[in-house]
Amino acid sequence: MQGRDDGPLLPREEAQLMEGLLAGDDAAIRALYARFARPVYTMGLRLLGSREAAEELTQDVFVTAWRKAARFDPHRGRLSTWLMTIAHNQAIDRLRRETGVTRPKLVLVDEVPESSQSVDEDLLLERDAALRAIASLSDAERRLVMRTYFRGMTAREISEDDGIPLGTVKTRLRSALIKVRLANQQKEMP
Amino acid sequence: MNCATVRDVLPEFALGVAPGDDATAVELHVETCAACRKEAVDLQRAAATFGYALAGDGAPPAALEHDVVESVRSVALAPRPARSRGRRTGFLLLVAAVLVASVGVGSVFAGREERLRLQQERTAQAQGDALQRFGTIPINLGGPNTRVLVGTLVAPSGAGTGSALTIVSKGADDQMVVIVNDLSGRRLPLAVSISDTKGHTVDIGKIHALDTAGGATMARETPTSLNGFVDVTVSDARGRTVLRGTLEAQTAVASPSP
Repeated sequence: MQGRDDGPLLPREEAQLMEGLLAGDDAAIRALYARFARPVYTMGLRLLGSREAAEELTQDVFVTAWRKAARFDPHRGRLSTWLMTIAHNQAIDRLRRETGVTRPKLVLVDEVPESSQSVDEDLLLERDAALRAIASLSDAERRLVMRTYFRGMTAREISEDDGIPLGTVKTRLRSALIKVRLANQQKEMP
Repeated sequence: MNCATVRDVLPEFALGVAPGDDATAVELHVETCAACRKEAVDLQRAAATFGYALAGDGAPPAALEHDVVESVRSVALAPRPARSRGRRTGFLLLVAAVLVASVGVGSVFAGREERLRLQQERTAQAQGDALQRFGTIPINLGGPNTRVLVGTLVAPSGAGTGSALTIVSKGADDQMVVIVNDLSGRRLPLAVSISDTKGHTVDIGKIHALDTAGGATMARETPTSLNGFVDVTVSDARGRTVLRGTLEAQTAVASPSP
């Protein structure tokens, strides 16, 4: 199973991969790397702004995944979500620690579509979902998501910056996430 | 946190920008609340979608795979500390047995019995870890007139469990052992101190690193007598109490068997 590198993983396969990771199994680590290194690295590159930082993030994410492997439950959520959450949290932690550092302009897939060549099927599916997510948002919601998810700003910081009530910011964030969820649920429905 | 408060924080939690204390409280709550857990998973899944929205710049450098594989293997396959053998190990296992027997498997994690499967698994794992760690702690036996005090440590808020033990001896430095678990995310170092009933406090030491389960074990000798010191506090780097508990005297520990 560990050699299969196309198509979404079944929960049973995800659990097997994580067991392999926990045991330090070379094939399992490489299988996980093959599937997830690219989006993790991209997140590091785009959010942190340098190849060195992106490489450090990628290493840290996989080591953290090993440390937390016992807590992963494939029935609670997909492995891709879990790993990207780890990657995102680590990137945001670093962003928030390193204040005053100039960050690169964010480039999203709907602005500069990436070649689908040499990108595996699973990643293409995730990218499609991301495109649907972005398309489902209004411009204001998109800016809000950019400032939180990609820049690490809290609702309170946005509230203070924009001079709008904290509750309003939270409501808008919830609304944006629900839109994204609905957009992808509709796609998944037969 | 109740459900309404958790729901208020969930969007920020899903987007990875909830303030630390809020995030910890949400994590605790969703382990016991199926409805909020479902909401959290759904919102996290939606938020994670954005992780794939960043335009790529090609594949990572080829050498990175090797580095990642080696990094993971180095931690996954790291040799465990060798156990010492002989009388000291026998004593340490006895100490561990006293600790576990006195506080009980369930009460080591007092107040968390209601937790679901995940917590039960963690408890079992932590218990095994605790026994294993006690087998490797370099405690020097203080003598035949030794009193052992043990107790559980609980978190005033947020995650975290622990247990502590003091060995109070006549004619030898007193010793203290502290085991903590599930403290991932706390700002390090953690400071361990113990107070007596009159308010005097002895700083025992600091925990500078946590293991994969957010746990650590600390063993210290102190020239200060710990007689009468029973209130244990573990604080994070910001001075916030993350664990506390009160020790109780146990039956005197006999000399170890070979």
